[in-house]
Amino acid sequence: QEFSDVTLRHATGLPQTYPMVVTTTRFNEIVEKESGGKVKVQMFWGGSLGGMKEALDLVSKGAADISDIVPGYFITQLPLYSMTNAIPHTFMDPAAATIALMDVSDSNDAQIAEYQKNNIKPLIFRALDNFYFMCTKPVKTMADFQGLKIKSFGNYIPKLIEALGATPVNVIVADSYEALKRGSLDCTYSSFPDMDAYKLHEVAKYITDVPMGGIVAYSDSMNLDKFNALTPETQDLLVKTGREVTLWWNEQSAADSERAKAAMLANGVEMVAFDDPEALHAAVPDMIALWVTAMEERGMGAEGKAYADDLMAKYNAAAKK
Amino acid sequence: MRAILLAIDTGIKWLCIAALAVAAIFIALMAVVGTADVIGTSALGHPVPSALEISEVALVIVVFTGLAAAQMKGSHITVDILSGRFRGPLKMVSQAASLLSAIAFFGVIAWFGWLEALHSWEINEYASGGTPIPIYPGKFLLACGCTVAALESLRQLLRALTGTLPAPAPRNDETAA
Amino acid sequence: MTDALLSGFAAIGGMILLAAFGIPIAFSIGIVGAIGLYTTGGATFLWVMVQSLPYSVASEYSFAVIPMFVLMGTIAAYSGIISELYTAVNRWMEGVRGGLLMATTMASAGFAAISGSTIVNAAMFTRIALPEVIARGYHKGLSAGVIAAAGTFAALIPPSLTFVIFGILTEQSIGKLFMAGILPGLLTAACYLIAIPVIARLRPDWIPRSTARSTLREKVLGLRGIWPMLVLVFIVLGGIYSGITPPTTAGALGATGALAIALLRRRISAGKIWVSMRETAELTAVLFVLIIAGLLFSRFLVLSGFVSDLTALVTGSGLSAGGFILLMVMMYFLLGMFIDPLSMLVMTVPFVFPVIQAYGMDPIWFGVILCKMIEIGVITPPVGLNLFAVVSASEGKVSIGEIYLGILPFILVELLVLLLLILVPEISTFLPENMM
Ligand code: NA
Ligand code: NA
Repeated sequence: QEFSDVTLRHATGLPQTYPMVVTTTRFNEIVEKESGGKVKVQMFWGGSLGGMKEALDLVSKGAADISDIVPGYFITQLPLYSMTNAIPHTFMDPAAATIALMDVSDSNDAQIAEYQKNNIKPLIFRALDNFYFMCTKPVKTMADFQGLKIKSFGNYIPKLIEALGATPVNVIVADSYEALKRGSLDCTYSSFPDMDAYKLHEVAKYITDVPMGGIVAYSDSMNLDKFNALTPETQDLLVKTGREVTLWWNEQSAADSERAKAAMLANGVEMVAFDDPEALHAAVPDMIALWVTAMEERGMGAEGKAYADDLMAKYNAAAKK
Repeated sequence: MRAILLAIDTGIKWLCIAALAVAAIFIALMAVVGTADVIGTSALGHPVPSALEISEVALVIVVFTGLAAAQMKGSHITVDILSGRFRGPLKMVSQAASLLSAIAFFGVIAWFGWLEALHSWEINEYASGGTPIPIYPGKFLLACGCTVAALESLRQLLRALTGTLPAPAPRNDETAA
Repeated sequence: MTDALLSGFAAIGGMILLAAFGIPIAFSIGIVGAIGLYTTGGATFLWVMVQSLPYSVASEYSFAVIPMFVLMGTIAAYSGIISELYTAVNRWMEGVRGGLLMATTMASAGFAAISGSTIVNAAMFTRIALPEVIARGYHKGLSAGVIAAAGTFAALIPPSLTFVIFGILTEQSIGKLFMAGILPGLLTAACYLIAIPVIARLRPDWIPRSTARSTLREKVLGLRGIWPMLVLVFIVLGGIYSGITPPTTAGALGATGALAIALLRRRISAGKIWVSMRETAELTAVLFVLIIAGLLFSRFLVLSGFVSDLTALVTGSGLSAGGFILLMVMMYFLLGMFIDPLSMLVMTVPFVFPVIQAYGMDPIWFGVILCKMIEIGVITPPVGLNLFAVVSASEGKVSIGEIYLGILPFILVELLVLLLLILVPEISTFLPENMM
């Protein structure tokens, strides 16, 4: 086996203590071990080489060899790839969404071309598990949503929140805690591990028990030129390990959600039974249709439609029924 | 020759003032959008669409269009404990080195800023928010602001080298109407 | 000593030389940082940094409070709201040596309850308080030092950005950290109130003795002048505590509120509004150039391995608990002299925190100690963001040399408080253990 003798500069915007980054550590360890120490990884945590919004530049221009890219920050550069990151209430089985995206990344020409244009090669995909509404008061009925101020971000979550009769409010993560505590936010919309990581359960005690679907959060992507310059064995190792770690996290993710949920319940959080989950789901507009419309407005309608069809077919095939 | 130099000198000063006016407009915009967002959210249940994204772009514009005026006024902080005692040629060298470093700093950011702005414009870059906010105006004004700041530093360097750099301008609180 | 440590110290030395030669601090830091990035990361790395960092830093929403609160302070100052307030406060405090600095200290502690950002406190109180105290004969450097140092209360007294980040990094309760910061914050403020009269005794020329003696009637009548300020405080404090606005938006509300009050009282001209905007823009520009340059330098120290080597040196020392704490304090004191607080926090905590836990020390207590050390970092020369914020906000009234001198007494006080916090952990742990 001929492995490239190389040190990869791997940067992440996330701190070392964030739960999902165990995949990054695991990836680095496997790659170093399987290559017999020839491929080494130099890790930079917590945005110390660049923030989340710099990640695409860092990788595509070669300042970092690998970094985690949140496609939602780069909707212009990565219109297709950002779909699974941007639209809520679509992927009730988030693990299946990563599998679909991983398949699309290997087989869909438009997606591959988009990666090439940005000079990136995604290696590890991760999903955030199902999102829930976590509020400072119990939300049991559709009427309870009226006028609530709910934390929102991106293009599509505001539309979801408005459809429920609530008000989408943009609050930065550092402010969320204080905003919930003082009442400038009534609810946050997030996954269990994120609620727990940001300690929001200390100030909001009620989680409405309706899972609203997860999103594909981000990928650790490599500079494509750098990737292509490696020996075939090294390339195979990176791709294989990325896939392995992606599937591994898919298995861990549910357990991690349970862990976070249990921790929050132990801290006095209450799961609130919603009286009519069907009505809640029915109130939310069709996010795929909204996404396709947005793509049409950008003159990429046909491409967007074909991509969504391809991705959703793969998602439906992978999803647990 | 002297007339041309004077015209350039005056032209650059006006550019600085124009950039500053842009900064003032966007400071006002930040205050208005922030306040309207607070009132809209709490009283009307309708926040200003993409208020956060607007504020982010506005902040970029404020920072970089305010640069040239700051350079003109000599606002960048200098440790004068030792260099304050320089006289004659040493003082001249220190001054010239300061202005050269300013030209290099702003010039490099401006150069890459223009490349980035053109790219952003070509791909029609938007920020992701409820209502899409274009990013390229912020990137263009970043490049413009740094360019004007570099030009202003160059103007000061030429004046310093020809021995006509005026004493630091009087402070606002004395000159303001 | 490793190569990374050597190159890091060489860069720090080079930066100090350039600054001493009269090159503005921002350019000294930025240029040495750029050279460092070039030598450790190569040309591509440097160019990517130069291209992406300025925009990314300047579009950080959490920084939007800086120009907004500065604008609020500037408009309040130009419309006379502040001088009326200080005239009133001065009448009550004229018997007390250093009374106005004490009042400023208390006001900064009060504002800390709404502001989570120490640079905002420093810049805003410079606009508000500095001209007033200097006009009344206080030593420039000392007054500027008080304002820069009292700005750090914002990080200890909740809400606090530092505690939020520490809580997320170490999985500690943010609520407990907020509780834990209250007493140390108040203790620090109290120590300043004790220190100011002591300084007046040691350096009588720094703090004027007031000869005026107002009657009680004059004192009471003077209170009429403080209502505009009370309204403004009510708008901002009320906005946050009633949940109308999140902290980051409160600045915009405050700026608009100050302008509305000034216009309603017909106390501000179009010219003064323009000057307020202009000064706000210039100050914002100067501060961000410093932040951008500082980040270039920080990223060089990260990339070269300086920070990780230094941290490894400390965490691998194998000392007793007391020795470890001492070494750690020295490390943060050293880092704090040169790099920005946020980078320091994010880069070191993941390595230091496990060691703290291994020694069996209280994580909440450690959070307070760390917060304190980081805040000492923003006021220590040569690179201290609060010092720079005060100097640039002073519009030329104070030089960096003057504030380097004026801050020294408060660094001493801070170190004493730090020692107290280390020796008496209950100051930090009492509230979180008994109130939650
Ligand atoms: Na605070
Ligand atoms: Na410092």
